[in-house]
Amino acid sequence: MIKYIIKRLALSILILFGVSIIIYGLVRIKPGLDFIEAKYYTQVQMDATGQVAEMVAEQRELYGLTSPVFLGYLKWLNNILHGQWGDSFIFSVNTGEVELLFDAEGNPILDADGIQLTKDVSSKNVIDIIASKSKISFIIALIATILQFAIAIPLGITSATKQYGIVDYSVTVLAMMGISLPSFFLGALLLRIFSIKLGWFPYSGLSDPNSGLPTLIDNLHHLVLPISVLVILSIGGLMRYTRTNMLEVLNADYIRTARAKGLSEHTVIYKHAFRNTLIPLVTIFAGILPGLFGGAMITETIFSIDGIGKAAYKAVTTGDIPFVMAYNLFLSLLTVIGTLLSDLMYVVVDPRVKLVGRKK
Amino acid sequence: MSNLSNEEKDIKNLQTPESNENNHEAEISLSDSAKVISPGRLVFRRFFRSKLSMIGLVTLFIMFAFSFLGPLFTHWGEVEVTGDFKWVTSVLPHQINVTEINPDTGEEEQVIYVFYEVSEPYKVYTKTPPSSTHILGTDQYGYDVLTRLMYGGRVSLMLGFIVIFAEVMIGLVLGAISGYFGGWVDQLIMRVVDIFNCLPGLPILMLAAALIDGWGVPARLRIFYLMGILTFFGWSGIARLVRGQILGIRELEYMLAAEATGLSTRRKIFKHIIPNVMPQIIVQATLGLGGVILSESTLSYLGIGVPFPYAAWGTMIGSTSGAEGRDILQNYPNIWVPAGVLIVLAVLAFNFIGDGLRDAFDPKMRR
Repeated sequence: MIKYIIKRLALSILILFGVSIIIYGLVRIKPGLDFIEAKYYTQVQMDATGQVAEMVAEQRELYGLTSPVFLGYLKWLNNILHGQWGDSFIFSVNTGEVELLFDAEGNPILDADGIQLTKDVSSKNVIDIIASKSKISFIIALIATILQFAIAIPLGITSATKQYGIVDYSVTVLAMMGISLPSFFLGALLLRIFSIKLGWFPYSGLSDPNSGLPTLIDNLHHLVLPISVLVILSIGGLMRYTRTNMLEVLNADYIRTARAKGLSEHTVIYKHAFRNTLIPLVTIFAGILPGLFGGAMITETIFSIDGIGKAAYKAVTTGDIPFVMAYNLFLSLLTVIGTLLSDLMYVVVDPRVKLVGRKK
Repeated sequence: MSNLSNEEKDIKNLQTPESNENNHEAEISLSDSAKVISPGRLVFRRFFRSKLSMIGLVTLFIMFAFSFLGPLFTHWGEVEVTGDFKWVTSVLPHQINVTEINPDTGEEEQVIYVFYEVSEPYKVYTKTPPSSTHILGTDQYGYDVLTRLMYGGRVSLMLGFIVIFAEVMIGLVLGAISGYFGGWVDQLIMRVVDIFNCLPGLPILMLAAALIDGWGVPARLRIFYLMGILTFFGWSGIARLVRGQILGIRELEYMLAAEATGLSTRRKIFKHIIPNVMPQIIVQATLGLGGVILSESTLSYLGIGVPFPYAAWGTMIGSTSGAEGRDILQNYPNIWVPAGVLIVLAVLAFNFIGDGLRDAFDPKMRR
């Protein structure tokens, strides 16, 4: 078991290594203006003295944009191995710490009450930014995931026990619709109906100072639509998965035995069948993990929620290399860990499964 | 419960031909009278019996007719500007400061002259509400929405099919090599597949699509680059599926027989293994088609997919997020809702068909 885990971890490192090469290559081989050039484009055009151009060249050097792609990658890799993930080009967050202010002579600056003035410490380090921005994304995803399981599993079971009935057909069609909906369309639709037309929910953001509601309620009120989008989009897959597995279990011999014993249908389904459908559900872990922490790029952008997804969208479009690298590697890491966890969970819940050095 | 009733039905079905036989005396032997149904026809039958897959198939036919034959019946072109417009003259004020002598006082003073540069009147097209000439109205650029929907459908459907075909080709070859030969080849290919599987989907596609911008690809060719990108980041799932299937098939007895007959490796792979993997691949490809259409429309929605003057469903929904986004979102659902409905219908149709095929190929799932 331990040997297996070590082997898988070693493989994971190899995978992340490959992922990082691909992402770095994609970000760097893009021709045209890089981040600094784009930022100072108009200034360079307006400036006749060439000072700005010089400054831009210096900055590009500083940001590591001038080195050849391969050397740049090695440099980046070296920094990562030393635990330096670099500073984001565009984001900064307050770390929550404060810095005491001193004047030029080193005396503390005091306000009217004699308390020393402080300044919020902000950090541009990508790890700090990911940590701070993913909080809200995590809360949204967590609520969405819990709702998703709470709705999808009972529906999936009902659908399987009444196969080819009205409930089954409507659940199947609804589930398929959920899978087929693009997030941007569903988001726009919900905004149009529930926010603009009916005015039930706010249009964007996370809080509204004029709402007069307590902060928590206000935030939740803002989150209803984005969470609905996430739930509707992901519920279908889980529902169908539950249905398929339930059908498979219901075909098993021990279910026939249970029925033959004269047990009530309720006991058969919820005691004998349902527990066995939980085994394959465990594998869903692999899919949940990246979504739980990685945010939802499009949904967050549509609803203007300042989470990790929206930040990633902005970073990708502006060419913020350190952030893009860290974010994508973070997602890949979550995928790798998710896969490993679900394989291990499989062994834990199903004693018939044995780990043998290689994946199926 | 239904288990039992189904079995009863089966028994009845079995009994009918036998009872017929008894009536017609024993002149005809059993093998002559029994209808032999090939596995292919069985699959066909099961597929057409399922209501959902028929709905999917019909939807798809209508959609193909709509987007490929539709443009023959519409009066407008894909990039033809039409609809309501108003004449607008733009006025540009200029201001100059002049020092001149005041004729009354004879002193120098600063005078400000303002003159206006007025342009020739030009047409500005506005969003036309639906009418009999423009059934779904026109969009903010003056393009007819219904016509754009048809051309958008061409792009999405064609792109979907081509990308999936290419993905299947790559996945099939690499998966077959990996599964059949095993060893270090297998290790190498599977590690590459692992890497591609772990790439985060949307950010990677966005980065790659941004590359096309950087290369300055002309708008017409852009869609082919898009196909390349979607294929490049999409083949790994199919390769993994093929490999897994082949690992199983390799151990079966008929492969031992093929080995014993001394067939060449190529023949073994292409004649004996691939046809047996096909059902799973067809199902996967059909389900994947919906995914490809979703990816394409997401990129178009973000403005980095099918380029501007050309139509795409995603772009039409994307108009709700631009400068006039709020206005279009609120007042012109005729511009973006139909596009969204078509995306859902197309993906839904492929999912229904894929599901129907899976059930048809795999009778185990039916009770």
